[in-house]
Amino acid sequence: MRPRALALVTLALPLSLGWAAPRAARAQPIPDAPPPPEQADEAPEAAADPREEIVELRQRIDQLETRLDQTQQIATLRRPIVSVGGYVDFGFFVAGGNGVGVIQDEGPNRVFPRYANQYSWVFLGDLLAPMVNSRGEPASLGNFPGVNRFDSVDSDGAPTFIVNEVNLTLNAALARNALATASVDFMPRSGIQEFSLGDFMEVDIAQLEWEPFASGKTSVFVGKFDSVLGIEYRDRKSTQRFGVTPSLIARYTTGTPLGLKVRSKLGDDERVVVAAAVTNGSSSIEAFHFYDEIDTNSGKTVSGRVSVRPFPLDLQVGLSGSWGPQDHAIDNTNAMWFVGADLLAHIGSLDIKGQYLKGGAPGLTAGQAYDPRHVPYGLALHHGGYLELDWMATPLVGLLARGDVRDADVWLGNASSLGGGSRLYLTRNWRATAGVRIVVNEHIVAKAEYLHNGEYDGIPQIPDDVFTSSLVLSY
Amino acid sequence: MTHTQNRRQLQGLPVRLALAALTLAALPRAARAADAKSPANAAPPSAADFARLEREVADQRQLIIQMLTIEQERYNFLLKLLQSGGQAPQGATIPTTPLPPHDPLGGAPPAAAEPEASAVKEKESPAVAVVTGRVQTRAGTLKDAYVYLDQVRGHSAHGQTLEIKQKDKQFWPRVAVVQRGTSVVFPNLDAIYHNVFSTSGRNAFDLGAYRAGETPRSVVLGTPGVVDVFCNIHSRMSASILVLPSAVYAKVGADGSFRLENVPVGPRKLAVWSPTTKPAQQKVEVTAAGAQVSFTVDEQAATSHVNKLGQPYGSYKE
Repeated sequence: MRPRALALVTLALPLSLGWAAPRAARAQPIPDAPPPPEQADEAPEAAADPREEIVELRQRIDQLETRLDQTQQIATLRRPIVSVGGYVDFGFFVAGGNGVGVIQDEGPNRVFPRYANQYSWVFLGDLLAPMVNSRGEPASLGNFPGVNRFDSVDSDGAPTFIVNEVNLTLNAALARNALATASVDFMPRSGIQEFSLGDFMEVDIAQLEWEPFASGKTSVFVGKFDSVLGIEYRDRKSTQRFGVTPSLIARYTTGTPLGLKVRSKLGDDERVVVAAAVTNGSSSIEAFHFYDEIDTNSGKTVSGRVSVRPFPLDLQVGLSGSWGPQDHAIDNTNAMWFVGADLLAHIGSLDIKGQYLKGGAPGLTAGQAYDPRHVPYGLALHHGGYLELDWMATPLVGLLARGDVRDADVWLGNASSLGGGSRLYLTRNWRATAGVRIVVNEHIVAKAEYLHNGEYDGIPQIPDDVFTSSLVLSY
Repeated sequence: MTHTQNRRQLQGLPVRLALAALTLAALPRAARAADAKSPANAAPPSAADFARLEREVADQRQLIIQMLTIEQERYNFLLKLLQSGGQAPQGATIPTTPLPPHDPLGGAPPAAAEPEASAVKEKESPAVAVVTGRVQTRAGTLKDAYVYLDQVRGHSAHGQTLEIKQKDKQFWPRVAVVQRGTSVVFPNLDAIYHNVFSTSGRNAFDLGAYRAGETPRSVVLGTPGVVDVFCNIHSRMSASILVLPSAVYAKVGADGSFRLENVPVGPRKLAVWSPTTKPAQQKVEVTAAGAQVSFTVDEQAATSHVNKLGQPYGSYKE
């Protein structure tokens, strides 16, 4: 019996203790649990107030957060003020005919014999119509004698690969409200022929943009900056342009003049935007007939634009214009002017862009001296414009359709003077463009376009259609 | 065995009892049954003894689980207490239901909560009330304004998600309030790229560039404060998110009225926030019957922002 009794006691006692223990535990309010008061007095560490631990932990958290803030401030201060960006624009194009957008009107079968005794050379068509890239460079300017030109591509119509542009852009935050920007384009080209100058570079933008007010709605630009004419200047670079080539009137509106510019967005929703600039000459592109990097006259060109976004449409309508002494003129006698209207609308993934422009400059007038180094061209831009639809059909693929027209006369010299004028370009040109855009990722975009150039108003058709493509690698 | 020997054996009994208890608590039932049938136990207990022992073992197992659970819940409670700055977090009470839903030891279902524990729960549960009032501006209209309980610490809102879409080169919604710990996801519905980022203190983030069709990226906002959200590509895209430590906030109606629920009774500080107004705070004594409070806020002029590199956006390129 002893072993059996011992076994029962051995089992029963702990069980009874165990049975009693939960009752004791359950009798205590939780978590102000077990130890009786006298034990708590004897072991103060064990009964430490959790709130003290909480306070200590909170202090440690505060210290850590302070250190985190300090580290973030150090990281911010060490952040370089200069950011480097840019892109490579690589392309391939095929141009119709010899890649030249004009034909010479000469010989017994002249189309416009009335100009025969007024100008030494008469050209029909548009020199810049067979564009191959976002710079607006034509496939070729031809090999006409006696005409100085900068034929930067000079392909003579041969299919060719081309590095359209290598761009380097530096942005430096000189202050929270002041940004210095320098954008330089490098163009690798052939340099073995008479009018091909080889590789060249161009300072595209060199400006300081200052936001004088905390709202950031007003910017003051100093230096070489974007135009205020129209809207096409906003996407003139190949990284910004939906398609490949610019419009037929981009030559007048997307140049980067030097001077001073102010732009202000008015209203809570910035529905009114006003911009004004004082510059050396017009906003024509640098490779065109009309452009002054350094002014040769004392007068300055003033330009401005006002745009509104009528509520509630995502539509912007603008009016813009410029006026000032002619580019390349050595005095302020004659003025060159442009005036136009523009439209920009967003409907979902569809962008609608349109622009209309008129302009003029008298060129040399009777009695003005002819200085071969500084000869202002005459311009009669009767009308020019385009309507472009850019649609991102999917996030990967976009489609472009554009219609252009340019009706203009450009001449050099004074036709009414004794010796007559030097040359005349008669343009009655329309263009239809279809394009596709493939966005591989945010850094890689491939684009292709077909441009059909047509002539009207008696000017013979010129075979200068272009297929061109562009692979833009931005960084 | 002599009487003295019996006494010595009884003196060592507590140790043996403890060992036996541990053995009983740890060993599987089958092992214990086998042990009971072993030759060492010359006279095995009766069936009634086994039944009683099994009940006792089950009780003891349940007790162990109970105590483990209580300890775990006490730990959780202390954590919440720590996060709430020493104040009993709203909705949090000292644990009273000790057993977890799953018994890891395979024991019997949990017993009902003890009456004492229920009393504790009632004692610790904070009383809350409703605060109503009105917010008005000195000029203009008020929109996207929120009233919230200020200077309070709450727990992190794990698992909660807010979606802010990017569509038509805008954020939708442009103003939001979330509880700390909320995950904010930014789907891009535009075919073009957007790059969502914020430079707002400890909530700074940069989600990189992505477009429609790509997996939306998200960020967990863990620190209370205002988070200004922008697109690094389109300067006109902006959104403001107020991260609060607790879920005690309410949107102000178009007429300026608000109704703030679950405000703990006592002296409290309420605040009103809107991206277009200056922040305003007000102390209020919240009683069990609630309270009423009025705010008058000033308009705040919009300011420009920089890109994620800390630079102005530069020329108008949109």
